[in-house]
Amino acid sequence: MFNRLSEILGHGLKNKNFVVGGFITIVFFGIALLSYVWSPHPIEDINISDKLLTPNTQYLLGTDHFGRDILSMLIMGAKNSIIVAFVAIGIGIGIGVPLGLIAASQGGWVDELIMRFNDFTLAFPSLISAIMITAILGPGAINSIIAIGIFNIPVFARVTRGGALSIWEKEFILAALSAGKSKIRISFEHVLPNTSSVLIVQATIQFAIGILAEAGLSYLGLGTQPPAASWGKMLNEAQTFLHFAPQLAIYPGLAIALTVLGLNLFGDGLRDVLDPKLRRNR
Amino acid sequence: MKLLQVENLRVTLDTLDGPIEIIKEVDFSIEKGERLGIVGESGCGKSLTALAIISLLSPKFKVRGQILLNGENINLLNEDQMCRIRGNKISMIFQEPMTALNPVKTIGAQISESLILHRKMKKAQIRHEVEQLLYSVGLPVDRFGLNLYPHQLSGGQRQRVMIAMAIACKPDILIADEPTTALDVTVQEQILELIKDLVAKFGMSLIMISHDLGVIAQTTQKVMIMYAGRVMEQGTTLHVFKHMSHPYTKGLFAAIPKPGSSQHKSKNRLSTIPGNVPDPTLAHKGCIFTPRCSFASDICRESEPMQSDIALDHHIRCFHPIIGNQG
Repeated sequence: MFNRLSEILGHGLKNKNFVVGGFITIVFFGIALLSYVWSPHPIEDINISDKLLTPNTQYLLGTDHFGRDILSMLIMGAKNSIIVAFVAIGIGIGIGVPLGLIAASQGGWVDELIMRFNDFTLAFPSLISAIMITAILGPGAINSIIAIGIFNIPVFARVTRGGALSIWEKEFILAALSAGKSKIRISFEHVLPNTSSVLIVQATIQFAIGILAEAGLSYLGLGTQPPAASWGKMLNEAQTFLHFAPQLAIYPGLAIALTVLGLNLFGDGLRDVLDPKLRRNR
Repeated sequence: MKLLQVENLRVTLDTLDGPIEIIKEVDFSIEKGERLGIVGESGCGKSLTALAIISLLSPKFKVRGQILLNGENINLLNEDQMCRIRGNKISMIFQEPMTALNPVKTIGAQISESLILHRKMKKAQIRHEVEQLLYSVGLPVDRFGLNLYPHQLSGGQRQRVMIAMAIACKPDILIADEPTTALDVTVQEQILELIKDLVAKFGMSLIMISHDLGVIAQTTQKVMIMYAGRVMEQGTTLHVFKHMSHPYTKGLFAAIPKPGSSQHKSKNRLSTIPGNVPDPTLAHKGCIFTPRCSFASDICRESEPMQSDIALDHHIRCFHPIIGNQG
């Protein structure tokens, strides 16, 4: 296992996407972890006298209209984004992957039913449907996680089914069947490990989408609620002051853009690194 | 009671143009410890017969007839009951050792799978058993660890792992579907001897599927010659090879290259059976081998021959058996 990891890392270091994306992703995760132990100022600290300050030694990135420290809010926002995206992916994988595996192994009407339901869910634009779900369930961090998670389910179901179908054609599946294993057991013990590289790549992409969706929902006021910090909410609040304090919008905007870019590059790089065929062409 | 008795096995494939009969009236039986060979050209239904026995054909295929394992018709069993027979009572070795092992699992994990499934053993016991199995297929654990992945092994070694997987539960019947086709000749020899030894050691019965008559001669006691899903000739290997009576069997043997014969001289050209395997979607009348048979007469075109006895334990489906020929 360790050999395999170091081998992947060895190939990865030759891949620019993997290195740059990986670096940004690690920094992003690092900042989020940092928020648990330290942030420059508590984000609940309202100092009206210090409001809308430009960057200075006390507030490295300045303050917002309540006098809260922007840097601290960005750091807390990173943590918040990660939690939402992470749990949402967990929901997507936890439900979507088994559905995809069942669809691929059973075929026939079971497959048809699961995949048509998938199509139905995918037919709605995900962000708009997430808005609908949070509108029904009520705004809040938990509900935005559920809304984003629901839209990860069909994505993972489809990717899993596609990968699984090609694995089911392999002879070692026939060998496993001839050893007396049931289809469900084969799905989890043989098919799933062979589709894992596709799933890992899909997860990094969904992670980026999840962060964007969370920012979008918070921007609309449907996601994370005050006083918790969220990049989307910061953008929303910055709107009012866009003319005389544009830095309020620039910082969270940059944070979102960089993180999503980093995750996408990382996902792309990871796909090339995990797929030996693509690796050889480089 | 026979260990395995297959009676009137028929496999039909449902297509848009109606059902096609791919395997027709296949009868055979195996006693405990007996070794049966199934020979025929590509596409004659050898592998299909084997897959029908362990009911691993896709649902498009309908399997009819009786498949009696120790007197119980396993063709009537449901999927759950069948799972308890596969790997436990009947198991199978496949042709392509390169693809028949899961690339992401260690060989130890793959061999132990059917033990975990069919024998409720403790971890240490399973480990011991897997080591024993690897030893018995010639991959001693001190040199070949349990944690190797398939890509770290050669083709012959992988086929040994496949064999270890198949015999893990000491099944009553081992089906070997062209186990040596993908291997080179020297390794082929070793693998065949290994299978033969293991079958004898554990008292298993063997169904050896091959298109190679040499493999069949080396490993089996009984043989069944198939053509287009029908059994053309069957009997003890010795008798069939010595007194082959069906024109098709005759053709198969004539098509074996003989050492010393040059293919450049036209009189020594390698003999072939003219024509191709018939398209199963087309309707035919009479004996299915008629279009390619040099002995065909009117009766062959009119009606299908029944199974008739040439000798004790030697049956044939032909109106014009070639009697008295030495092979």
